[in-house]
Amino acid sequence: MSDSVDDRLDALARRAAADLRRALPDAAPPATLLDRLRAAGTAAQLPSSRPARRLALAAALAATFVAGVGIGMWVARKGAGSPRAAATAAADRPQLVRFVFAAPRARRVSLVGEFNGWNARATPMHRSADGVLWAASLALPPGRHLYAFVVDDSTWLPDPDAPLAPDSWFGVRNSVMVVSDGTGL
Amino acid sequence: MTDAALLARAAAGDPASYAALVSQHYSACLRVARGILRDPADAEDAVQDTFLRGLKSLARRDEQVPFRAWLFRILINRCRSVAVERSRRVRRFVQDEAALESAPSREPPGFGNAEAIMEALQRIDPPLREAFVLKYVEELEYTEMAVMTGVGVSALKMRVKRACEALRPHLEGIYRER
Repeated sequence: MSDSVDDRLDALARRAAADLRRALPDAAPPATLLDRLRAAGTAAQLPSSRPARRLALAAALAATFVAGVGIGMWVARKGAGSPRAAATAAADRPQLVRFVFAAPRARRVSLVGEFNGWNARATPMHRSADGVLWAASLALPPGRHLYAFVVDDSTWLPDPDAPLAPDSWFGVRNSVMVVSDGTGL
Repeated sequence: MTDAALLARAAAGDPASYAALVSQHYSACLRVARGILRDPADAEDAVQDTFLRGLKSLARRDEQVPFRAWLFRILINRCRSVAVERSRRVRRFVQDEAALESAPSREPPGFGNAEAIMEALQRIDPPLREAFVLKYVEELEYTEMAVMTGVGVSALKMRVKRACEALRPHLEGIYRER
């Protein structure tokens, strides 16, 4: 039995298909899809070991760093979620950086960035006793770091009081934090 | 930029590249999903799930398989699942004729033939519908369709033929009237 379509029927099918294509014009992915992709954490799903290695090194160094040298911190103004760094470390040493974000209505907040592969499960933030602020601390090497906060596994937000990165990611810009090399911000 | 180049950049940690892949393939995925499922909301759900699943399994993708074929395979599986879920939903039928007449049309004005064609597609078996949409609407080669559907080329050709034959009376009616 032949598996080919006769010419007339083929022409009819092509005409129908053309009408369908005209009726279903090109569409852009909706913002909701991009939001969900952000929340899923793109880079965490991708094969890149560089952030993991950097974080492991930073964590190992942080133990000796915290013990003797000093601590660099981002301190938030209460109610505003604004971090300020006060780094006083020797040059090239990782800084312990505290991220603080105000989200009193959130159920979960995660810190994401290049330092943890943009993985929303890697760095959950801890809620303050008054329920207003969420905080997490990381040891980060000197340099420029992109980061953002993921609220309730679905909403990707930059830090409202930090500089924004010039590039956008799925239409949303991340925050930029520069960790001092020990000479001050 | 080609899919291969975007994939390489996405795999190297460039998040914008996956977004670009989504943008490049979104329309085609939505067309296929609409052709298979008809309902716009079901189709959008299937497409969005496809891209999310694609993101999660990107690292495990067999690089020998073209990206579009790999993506459409996920999409078709999602459409099949959505169709099964939909068939289990309880449907409420409106008995009020006045409400039916005043209810807004699901499709925009001028949808015309396309609505009738999609209605006709819903009347044929899902495997035949899939084959017709991939072959005629998306104009794919049988070898690529085989990767997407998991069905052999010979079987796909037969499905396309049977789909066309099942659609024939509907299509002849649609185009005879216009």
